[in-house]
Amino acid sequence: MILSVVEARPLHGYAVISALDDASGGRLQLATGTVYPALRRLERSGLLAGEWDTVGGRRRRTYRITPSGRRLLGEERAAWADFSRMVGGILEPPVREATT
Amino acid sequence: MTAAVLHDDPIDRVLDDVTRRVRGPARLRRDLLAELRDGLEDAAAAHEEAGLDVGPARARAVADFGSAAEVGAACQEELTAVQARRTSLTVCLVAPAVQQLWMQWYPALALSLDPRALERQNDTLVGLHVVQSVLVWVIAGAALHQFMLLGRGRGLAASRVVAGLAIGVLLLVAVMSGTMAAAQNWMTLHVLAASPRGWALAAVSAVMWMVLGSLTWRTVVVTRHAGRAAALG
Repeated sequence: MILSVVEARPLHGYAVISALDDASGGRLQLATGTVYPALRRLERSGLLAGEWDTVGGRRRRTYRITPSGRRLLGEERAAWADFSRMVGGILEPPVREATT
Repeated sequence: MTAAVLHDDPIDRVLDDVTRRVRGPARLRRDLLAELRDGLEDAAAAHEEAGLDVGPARARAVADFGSAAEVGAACQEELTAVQARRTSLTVCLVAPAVQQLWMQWYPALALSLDPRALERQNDTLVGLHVVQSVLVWVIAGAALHQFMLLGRGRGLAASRVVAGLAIGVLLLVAVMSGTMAAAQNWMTLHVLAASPRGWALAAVSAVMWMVLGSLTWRTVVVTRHAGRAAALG
């Protein structure tokens, strides 16, 4: 999910949290403090690259997606699409044939 | 009213609590704590913009933040993984390097002191040396594997394996080298003391093992701390 929200542009930690909140319509209840170590773990994995910037007079660490991160995001999206199609096929009511 | 005049600022309080709970590489620890503060200040500013007063805005930011135990455990796992990654790389570089150095330098030093020195080594000593060499390379390979796993986001389990490997290689070299040296009536020490090259070999080995020993100690400490933090968080 984090990779998805930084895909379009680099974001700092709180902007990542806000983007996740917006994207989920406010339904994703995260302990916001756990997002920062998660960002570091993605950076350690080579999926994000982080650097310190000065924005509005304050130092902030900004994260951008790496080519490896983009590749993994594509794979995760494809896997999720397959899974949701499979579950949808099971849960959706069968279409009744029209009787004449 | 500004945050500066809050006598019991909830943001300071939760950050102090998290700070007390985390140990590990100093720079990463400092950076992570700075990021947490930035995030909390941003959240409080956003709540103020949404209409809350300063005090309630800061309290709301802290409420959304999660407990100090939960955040501290997540930070500690990351700090531990970074510490373990450094240690795993050091194990896989230092242990074989010191061994190769001894294999390159020691025979010539021993022969220069006593032309028949190597002839007096019996099969048991040669066998022990081969076993030590093989085990050092096996541990170095395992440490490299953990280094790669930690580089793919693995956390506490891989860190524990690294701590075990680092302790293992230190014990292995200490016990086997000590045994072999004792079996030769500590001739090794005479060989090392006999020339500047011998002193250099001893000094380089000592420094490398001290570096590895220090990293191993730190890894053991933060890994145990992370285990306790994860149980509490």
